Amino acid sequence: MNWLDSLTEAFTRRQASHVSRRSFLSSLGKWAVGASVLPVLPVARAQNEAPPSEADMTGIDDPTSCNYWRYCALDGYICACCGGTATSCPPGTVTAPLTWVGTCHNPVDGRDYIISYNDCCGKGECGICPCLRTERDKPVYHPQLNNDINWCMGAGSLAYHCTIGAIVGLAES
Amino acid sequence: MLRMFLGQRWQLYLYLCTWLMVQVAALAYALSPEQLYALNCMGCHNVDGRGLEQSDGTSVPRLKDFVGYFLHLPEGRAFISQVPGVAFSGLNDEDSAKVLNWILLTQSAEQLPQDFMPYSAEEIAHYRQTPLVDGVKAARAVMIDKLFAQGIIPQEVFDSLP
Repeated sequence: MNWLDSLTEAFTRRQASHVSRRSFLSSLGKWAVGASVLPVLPVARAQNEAPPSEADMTGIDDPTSCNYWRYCALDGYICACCGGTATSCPPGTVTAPLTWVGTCHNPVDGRDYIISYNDCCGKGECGICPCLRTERDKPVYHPQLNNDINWCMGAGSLAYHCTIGAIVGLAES
Repeated sequence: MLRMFLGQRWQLYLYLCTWLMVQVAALAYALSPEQLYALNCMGCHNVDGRGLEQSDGTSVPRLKDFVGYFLHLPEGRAFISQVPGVAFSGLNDEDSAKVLNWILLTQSAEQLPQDFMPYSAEEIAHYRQTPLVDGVKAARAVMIDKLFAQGIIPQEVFDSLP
C-alpha cells in the first residue's frame, strides 16, 4: 500500500499548496449541490430499480408469483395463474410467434438467463395475477426491447390473454 | 510550470487507469454473437432465422438460407446494415458487425458470394448514418428482382417468396 500512501500524500500536498481555502470551499459547495441535484433530473430511473432484496425473496421459485425470478421483465398477466404454466399457454390461446427477449438473474444458482416473453393470444384478458416488472425494459422507441406493446402480432388475434417466460439460453460470457 | 505539468500527468495516469479498467470490464462482460442474436434479433426473426409470414399480413424477413444473397450486390451490402432492425438496434457498431457476420455465416453461408468479406465496425458506422426509414420493402423487392434476373436467386427460391 506504499504507493497508494505516497500518491495520496502527493495529491494532498499539491492541493494544500496550490488550492486556496476559499476555492476549496466553493468547489466543495458545488459538489454538494451538484450531487444532490443530479438525481432530481428527469432521467429514466426504471433501469436502476433495485433487485428484490433478501426479505423480498418470497415466491422467487413460484411460477404463479410476480416475484418468480423468470418474470423480471414481465408486463401483463401470469399464464401459470390462468390455466397455463410458466412456459406454456393456457388451452384456447395461441402462443405469439414474435416475442421480446430479456435477461433475468436467477438468485438460486446465481446465473443470468436469456428469457423469451411470449404473449398468449386469442382470448380476452385473463385478469388474474397481474404483474409488472421492468428489468432491462427499454423505451418504446426501441420496440424490440419494450414490454408495453402488444406482442400478439402474427398470432392470428390481437386479443391479449397472458404472458409466459421461457428460458432460451445463458446470458454469460 | 513544471509542477503544473507533473500535476496534470497524475490526472492523465488516473484517467488512463480508469479507462483501462472499463475496457477490461467490458471485455469480461462481452456477449457472444449468439447471445446478441438471442437478445436483439431472435424475438422476431425466430431461433433459426426463418422469419415469419402470416395470413394477417404480419411479416418478418427471412434470414435463413436467404439473407446472404443480398451480399452479391453493393447496394445489398449497404441495405442489410441500413434496415431499421440493424440501424436502430441499440447495439454499438462493433456488436452490430459481430452479430451481422454471425448471422450471415451461420444462417446463410451458402448464399454468400465467394469473395465475401465480413462487415467491419467502421463500415456499419458509415452505413448507419443513412438508415432506411421508408421504402424498405420496395428497396428489397427491387434487389430481389435484380438478383433473380442475374440468376443468383434460383427459380424455386424466388417462387417460394411471399
